Amino acid sequence: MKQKVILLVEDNPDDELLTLRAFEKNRLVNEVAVVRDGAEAISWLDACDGLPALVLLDLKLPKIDGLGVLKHIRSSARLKLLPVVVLTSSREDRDLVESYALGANSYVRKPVAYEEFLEAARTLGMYWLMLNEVPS
Amino acid sequence: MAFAVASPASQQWLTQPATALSLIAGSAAAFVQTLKRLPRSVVHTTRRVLAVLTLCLAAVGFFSNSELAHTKWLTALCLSLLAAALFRIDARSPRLTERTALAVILLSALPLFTLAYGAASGGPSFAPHTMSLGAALSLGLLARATLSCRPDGDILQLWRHPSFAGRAFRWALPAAVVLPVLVSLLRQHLVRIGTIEPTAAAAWGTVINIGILSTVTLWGGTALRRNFAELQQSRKFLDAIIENIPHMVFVKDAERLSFVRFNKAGEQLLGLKRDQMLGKTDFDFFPPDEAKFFQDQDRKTLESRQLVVIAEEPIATASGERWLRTKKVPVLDPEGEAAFLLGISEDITEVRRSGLELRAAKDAAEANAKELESFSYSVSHDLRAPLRSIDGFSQALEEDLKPVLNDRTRQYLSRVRANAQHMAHLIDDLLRLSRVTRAALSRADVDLSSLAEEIRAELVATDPNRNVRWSIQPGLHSHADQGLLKVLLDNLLNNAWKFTSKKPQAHIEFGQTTDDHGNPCFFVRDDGAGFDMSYADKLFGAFQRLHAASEFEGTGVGLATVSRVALRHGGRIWAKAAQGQGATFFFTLS
Repeated sequence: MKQKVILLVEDNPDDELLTLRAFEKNRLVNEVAVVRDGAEAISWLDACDGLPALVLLDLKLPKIDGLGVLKHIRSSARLKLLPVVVLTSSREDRDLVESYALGANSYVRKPVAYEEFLEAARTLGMYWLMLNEVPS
Repeated sequence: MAFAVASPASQQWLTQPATALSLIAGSAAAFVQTLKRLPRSVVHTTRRVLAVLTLCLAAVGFFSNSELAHTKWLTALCLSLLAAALFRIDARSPRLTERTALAVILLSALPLFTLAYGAASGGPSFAPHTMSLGAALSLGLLARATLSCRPDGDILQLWRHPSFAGRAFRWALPAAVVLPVLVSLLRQHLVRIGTIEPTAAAAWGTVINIGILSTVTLWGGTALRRNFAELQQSRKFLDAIIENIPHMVFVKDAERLSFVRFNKAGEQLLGLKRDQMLGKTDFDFFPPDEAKFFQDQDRKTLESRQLVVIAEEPIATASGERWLRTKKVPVLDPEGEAAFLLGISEDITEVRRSGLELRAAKDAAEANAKELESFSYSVSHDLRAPLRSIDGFSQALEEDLKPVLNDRTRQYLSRVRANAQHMAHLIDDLLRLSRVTRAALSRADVDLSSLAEEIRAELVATDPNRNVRWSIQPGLHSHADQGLLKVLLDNLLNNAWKFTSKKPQAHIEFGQTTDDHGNPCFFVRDDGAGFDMSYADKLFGAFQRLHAASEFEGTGVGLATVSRVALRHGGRIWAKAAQGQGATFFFTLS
């Protein structure tokens, strides 16, 4: 079985590091590809050979923001079935509503407390990578 | 009316047949005029015919050469005058009717006076060359009747006038009539009985008559003068009012729309003297298009006979451009036609400016609010990220340095993390507080009991092992904002949960009660840690805490938020507590 790749779209290097550490701590050994802004995300997705198993998408990104990336994913014939989990620190209702409106599969708020973050990462990993089925 | 048959004994009462018939015709004419039921044209024609008949009969009588049937010249004259009066009784001006009727009354009094004087002087009692007494009385009465047909005549108007002039006239006229008669009678009598010489009597009589006439004239004159003074005062009063009205007041005549009146405020506003304005029109002062606009509004007012308001119009004055609110009112004459145009202009330049400033301030405030909104939005993102890093890397350190750390160093790291947590809560609470302050209030019926139940369920889920007895009064409603109420109850119930956390068994209540004045209010009560009432006034200030963070964690913003919610609803919040015995928070929402 082909290794499931996770695409992490995150501009904050600290958050990136913490996320990777969280995956490591939870023994999620999947390859994690990291892109730093919306434009990079789109070009990575367009260029990738085979689809990632999961996209973890931050909303506040330079160049093209998270919602823009989401829009691109959902409007591309090849990408539109991709599972996208919006992982953001925003608690604004309008971000939540907008994300779902644009077709996000899930919306998770990054907790400040690291322990909670670890738990969230574990749950996410367990669900999306092990339990959830995606079309190939 | 008298129609006496000639008899020697009553010679002085003898009225000629022509005269009598003439009198009857005249009376009929006067009578017909009073018949209201008949159509006017019929009445007028009949009356005129009868009047002409009166004249003809008088002429016939006068020109008759028969000794017996000859109408005296005076009688004929009076009848002719009456005929004229009756003929013209429906004329626009009552003057002819009135004057002729008065003349006839006077003339017909002649034989009566002659009789009276004759009796007084003991001489012949009848002067056959004037007129018969019967005719005299009839003529007098008929003339009086004719007078009544025109109550708008001067003499009746004056007699019935309620003013001082009327009162004076009601005294003066009888005096002018009666006194000279009495004086003459007295004179005749005194001469006859020889008390006084005729020449002396004549002199006395003249003097007294002059005195009476002068007094009566003086009375009349005084009445007039007083009336005039009152009128002047009235006019001065009105002038003063118009002059002192702080708005521009002007009057234009309806024909040419030229100025006939202009007040001081108007002079000050336009910078023009009224002498320059009176008689001229708008075209002499304002540019043609402005003047045309004004005159169009004037015409509109006059034609519609209604008030026209020009909400705001700019006008070029000597001191620059001013803005006016003008109201134009038509002034109607007694027939209901527009005679004048009254204009009142208020200088609203300042008001308008403040209005514009207010609108600008409001726009600025709205822009500000929007800016604040987006600011808060950024805050919710950008402030949390570093906190996450602080907490995350601290934990990472703790894990990775485990072999090297001792209790003290481990504690340092956990303090770092605790502070990051605390800061996150602070940010959340502050954001909530700002949202509560800014959010629009939309009131609806809110079920407070079910809201409290929801929060209870959430709290219990966080720690199911806690032993807490809940008393939530069912059926509590309020007309308030759902979102804000959730924040309020969330805070209060969370506080109750938190401050009873040290008790093995706690009781938390939510219900409705009345305050000290008997007004209804809601309350949340717990039997937990309570607080010292002497610090009660600090309770609702932001960042104010009455407990150490080591005892109970908290940001000190929760109650400030609750207070803000209550205030925004127009209500209030207060608390009663005792140290170690729990606290009760009361609030109202209106």
